[in-house]
Amino acid sequence: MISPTSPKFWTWKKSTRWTTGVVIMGVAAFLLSSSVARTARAAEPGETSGELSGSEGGDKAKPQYSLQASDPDNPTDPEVIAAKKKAAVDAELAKKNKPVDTGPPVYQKWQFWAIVGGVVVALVGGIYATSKIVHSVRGGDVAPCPTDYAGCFGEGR
Amino acid sequence: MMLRRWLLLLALLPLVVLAQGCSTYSYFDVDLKLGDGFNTVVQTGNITKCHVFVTGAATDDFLIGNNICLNSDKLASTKDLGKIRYSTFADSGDVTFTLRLFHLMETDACELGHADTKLTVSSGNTVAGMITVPLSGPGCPQ
Repeated sequence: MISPTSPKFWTWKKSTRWTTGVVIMGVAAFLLSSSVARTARAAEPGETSGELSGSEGGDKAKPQYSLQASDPDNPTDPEVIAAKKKAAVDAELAKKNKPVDTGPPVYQKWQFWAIVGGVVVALVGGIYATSKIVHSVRGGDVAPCPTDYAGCFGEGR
Repeated sequence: MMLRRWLLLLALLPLVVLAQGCSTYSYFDVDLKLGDGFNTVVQTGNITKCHVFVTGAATDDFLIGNNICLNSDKLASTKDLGKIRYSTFADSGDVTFTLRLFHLMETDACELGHADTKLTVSSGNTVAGMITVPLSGPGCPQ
């Protein structure tokens, strides 16, 4: 103990006060942090109480807790967040660019060729029938020319 | 919509064709003969062209083949140019067939003779006729 009259007294007094302040602040910080941690644990879903009940149930595995800062579901690292966002955007793009499965091309279906064949047959048949009708309407085939005639002339020759 | 129009057009085509009316052939069988004056090979040998003209309900003209028209020996003996068959779509009216025989050129001056026959169309049927051409001109000067 230094005497209050000693010239070093005030220097000593100041250093003592400063040390006491640091200690008080440290204790306060400790209490504050433990209180915050306890409140956070109480907010965890599925937990009835914030206490670590390792003795409850006896053989139950001790749950693993991790700090919120390192929670992979809620990352705080900007790089991780950016990577996560990028992955989400990529997934969305991939979902959009994924071709819609509409089955085989239409020309690989037998129905298509059946219809095409039907149309072609109908068209050819229609043209043939029309030409026959037109020919018939125009008089049909002219009578053959007798071989012993000097010649056959006129329409249809 | 376009396909429906085409199908409608295709369906209407036969009706349009039918609306124009059906055609029927009518035939004429005409026997061509040489008449008086064509008695010798020299006389039949003057024939160089046998031209048939069709007038009336049908209009046409055509030449009898050289194998018949220029066969003076046979013509002199048979006086027969043979039969021709003429077909037409005319279903009524009269058709006149005129046979003109020429010497060297087809001009009036070079005509050796001509004759005609008027036949009435019988729709869908064959009408027979005959033309006999007498020698009536000297032909072209040699």
